[in-house]
Formats: sequence, C-alpha cells, structure tokens
Amino acid sequence: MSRLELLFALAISAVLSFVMIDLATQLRSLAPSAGPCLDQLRTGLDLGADCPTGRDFVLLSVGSVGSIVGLVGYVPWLLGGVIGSQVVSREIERRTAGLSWWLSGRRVRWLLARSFLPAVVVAAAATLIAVGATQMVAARYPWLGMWHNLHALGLWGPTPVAASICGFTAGLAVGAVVGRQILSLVMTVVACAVLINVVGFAAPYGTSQTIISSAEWQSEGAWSWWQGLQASDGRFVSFDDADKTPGRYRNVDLGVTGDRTPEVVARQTALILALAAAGLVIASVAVNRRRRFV
Amino acid sequence: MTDVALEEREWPALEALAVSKRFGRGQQALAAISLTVPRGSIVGLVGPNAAGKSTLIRTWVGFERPSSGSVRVCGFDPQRQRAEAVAHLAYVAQSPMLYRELTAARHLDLALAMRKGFDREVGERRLADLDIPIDAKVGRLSGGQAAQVSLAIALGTRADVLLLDEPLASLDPLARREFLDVLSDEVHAQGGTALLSSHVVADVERACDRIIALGTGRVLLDAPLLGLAEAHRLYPDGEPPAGPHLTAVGRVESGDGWAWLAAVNDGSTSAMADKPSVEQVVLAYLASGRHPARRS
Repeated sequence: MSRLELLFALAISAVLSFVMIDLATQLRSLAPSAGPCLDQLRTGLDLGADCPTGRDFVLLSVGSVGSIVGLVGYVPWLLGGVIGSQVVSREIERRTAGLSWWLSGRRVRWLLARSFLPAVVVAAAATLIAVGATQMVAARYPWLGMWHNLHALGLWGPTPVAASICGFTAGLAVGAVVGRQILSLVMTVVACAVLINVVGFAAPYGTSQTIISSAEWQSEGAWSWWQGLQASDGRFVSFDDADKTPGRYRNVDLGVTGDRTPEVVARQTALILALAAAGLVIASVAVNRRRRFV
Repeated sequence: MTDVALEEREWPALEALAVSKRFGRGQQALAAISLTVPRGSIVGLVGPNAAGKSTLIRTWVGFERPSSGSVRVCGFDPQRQRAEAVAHLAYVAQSPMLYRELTAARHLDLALAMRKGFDREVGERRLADLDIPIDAKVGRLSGGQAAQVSLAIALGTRADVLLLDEPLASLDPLARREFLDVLSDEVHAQGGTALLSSHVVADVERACDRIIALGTGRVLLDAPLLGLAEAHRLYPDGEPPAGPHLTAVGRVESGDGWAWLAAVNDGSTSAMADKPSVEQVVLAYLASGRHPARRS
C-alpha cells in the first residue's frame, strides 16, 4: 500500500470522527445536565415547557446520530477489509512479490513486514472512529452519566478496533488466496458481511441472559442480543412464530444488564481477535504455499 | 571451511532429477527432465515457446512445484529447504519484478534489507556504468533499463547461481549486447554460475559456454558450446545420412535449401560434409524434438 492511500484512509476516519464529535457537541448543547427536562428525555414522555431544546435533541438523536451509529458498526470492518485485501493481492497481481520471494525465502516474515504499517494505520483509523463514536453515543444518553460513558467506551472502543484488525486480516487472507485486486476487494466485502453476522450470533453464545426491563434499558445501558415475545407460560417465541400461533404475548429483550458490559465487550472482542488471528494464519499459509503468480 | 561448507561445494549448482510438471489435466510442461548444471559455467537454455524453459527455471526458484521428481539448488530442495535454496540463487524474470513507483536506489535498499550479504555497491556500480539514473522511478525507465536494474539487483546478491528467464526478450540489440556483456563479465569475475534462457541462439553463443536445448518438455541437447559445431556435419538433403560413426539429428535450412545434420560420434570429420553453425545445430535438435529423425 502506498503512503498516500494510507493517509487517505486516516483522513477519511478523521473526518468521520470529527463529524461524530461535532454531533456529540450539538447533543450536549441541547441536553440539560439535570432537572425535569432530563427526566422527560429519559422517560420519553411528552416534552413540555421545561424542555425547550428537547425536541431538537430527540430529532438529532434519532436522525443524523442514529444513522451514523448504525454506520459505525460496519465502517471498521470495511476499512480494515478494503486495505487488507490490497496488501498481498496487489503484490501478487503486479508480480512484485516475486522479487521479495526470491531475495528471501522467509515469506511469512515478508507478509508481516508488508502488513505491519497498514495494520497500524487501520488500527489508528479505527481508534479515531471509536473516539468519535464513544463521544457521540455517550452524548446521546446524557442521563446515564459516567457509567454509561464507560459502557459506550467499552462497546465503541475495543470492539471497533478489533473489528478493523479482523477485517484487515480477512482481507489479507482473501488477497493471498485469490491474488487479484478487484476480486479480492469484492470477496473481502462479502467475507466481512459474513463475519459481522458470525460475531453477532456467536458472541452471546453460552452467556446467562435475562429479560431486560425497561428501567434497566433506560438506566443502565443494557445490552440486548435477542428481541422477541414471551408467552404467558414463560416460553420465548419469535415474532414469526407468534404470528402463526395467536395468543397473549409481551415484548421482551433478552440480554445482559449494563453492569455486565465488561463481560460483553471482552467476549465480543476476544471472538473478533480470534477470527483476526485465524485470518492471519490463513494468509500466512496461503503466502507460504503460493507458487504461481497471476 | 566447515564440513557443511565443503559438502555444499561438492553439489552441482543446479540439478533436475526426473522432473515432470503437468498443469492440471492439460499440457505437460516438463517430461521427466534430468540435467545438471556444473558450478562455474554459464549455460544457455534454448527452446521454442512452451518448451518448458520458464517452468524449469521457476521450479528451481521455488515458484513451481514439480508434479514428480525433484530439483536442487547447490544441494538444497527449493520446496523443502526454501530459505537455504533461495539464499544461493538470484533470479531475473522476463518481465522485471520491480515496483514501478520506486526508484532503482530504493530497490537496492530493499534488496539490502531482505538479502543477507547483499552488496549494494555492486548494484550501484552496474547502474552507474550503464548511465541508468539511480534516482529515477522504475516506471519511467525503458524496458532495457528496467531489465538492467533487475540484473543489478541479482548481481548485487553475489549469489552462487543466477537464473535468467528470457530477460532479453524485450530488449533492442544494443541493450541485449550490454546485458550479455555485463552478465558474462560479472559471473566470470564472481566465479558464479548462470543459466540464461533465450530464444536467440546468437545471444547464447555470445555469453554462454554450454547449451541446453529443451523441446516439448524434454532435453534434446546438452553440450559445451566449444566444439559443438565441429562435432556435427551437414549432409545433402534426401535420405538421412547413415554410417558407423554418424547419428542423424534432423533436417535444417542450409543456404538456399535443406540439409541433414548429423552428429559425428568418433570425432572424425568428413571432407565431403560442411561444418554447420551453432544455430543450425541447435535448430536441428529442436526440430528433432518435433519430428524425430530415423537413426542410423
């Protein structure tokens, strides 16, 4: 990767981070620090005269901020994947890898040397995004105070950085196997989409989950992994199953309360880092065994 | 010198033992080739397109895995002992494996960082002798200059074995001449070994002291260049020449028509027959690979 391309990735991340910090600043200027208005925002009740800026806060929170929060979940994966997919595939497609491979037989060392700077840049870019996202998410729930800031920092700090590295090594692996730039890029984007779903399904596996009450949602920054319905006999059913068998159900969220945020973050980050390590192993094996150039 | 080093010195520079290579279910590039390139020689590898020259060279570099058989570089198997094998060789590909956006100087720096014992001065001197701007990006150099940068990197490694895979293909006559002169001078000065693959017999004659002709994946000729022409004779076209000391090789163009080329087995020559050029000898062997001659 050229330094210009890496700088471009950093610049894009810095701009995104700046936008999120700006939105966080706007949210803070609209939200009160205490008093009846804060309670109205927290409980979602009708905003009265006590809360002249509340309507603007809610509009911004569910509008621009909501859109960017959704986007930020994918950006680190794609950022890492796009850069990672080009590191090896470009060298194979342009045959420049051959120069290094006959100069030194230690191809894994070559792979690590080639990947180091782009990986650092990807991690730095993801950190920039994480900083902005943490600020924005913390400002979105002003009634949660410092505890939620830590919660936001946990979810939007280590996880996006780990995701960017995982996307990067996935791109490395795809590039080393495929050896063509465009094809590697497309396949890496698909691989990242698969990995996001894998992490989404696998991260809660084996955790003890409870029904999250609305109070816990509002006050503790709980983390939900399953949304569905609970029947009167206590069974949990999906919305689709409930449609097939009419009855009395109540909406429930299954997950963990906010005080278990470190556990959630640790599980999710560890899983993503394990997948990242697997990607690096696959890339190393592919580079080591590769014989032919495109 | 250690025992290991002594042992290494005893191995030939390059060896191929019954090497076959088939790509998928299709074309057979190499068919049980066995050959040895002794140390201290410059060997020309000639043959038509798809003869297996590049495949054989890439097998020694470790860029191809033989379907069967094995190859060795100074006694090391490039598949199982890649680091050791690669440490003994340098490689110049037909289309230079260079970074277009980097300068020649940066390429020498890269080689210095990657290759133990790389002699940057050797590379720099070669480029300076040829007036190739060391600070120009490779993408701005001509094809001939880029090939010289590749050769400068290869020579800078001071490797025991230089493998050159048709590096002259895209060069003009002057650039070819310069390339071959540099190759010949440096390899002889360093006491190394080189294997030069080329379509052009004249290029091989200029720089090499041994020639190997490959055709349809087989070795058709493997002989020193010195005395090669003298060991063959041209006979009038018609029936293949026959005699107790003659082996008909194949038909070859001679003057306005065709002639039979035969190997003279006992060193005696016939006053009735003409002496062929090296090119005629090589062409006759290559033709024999396609249409084997009746042997006397």
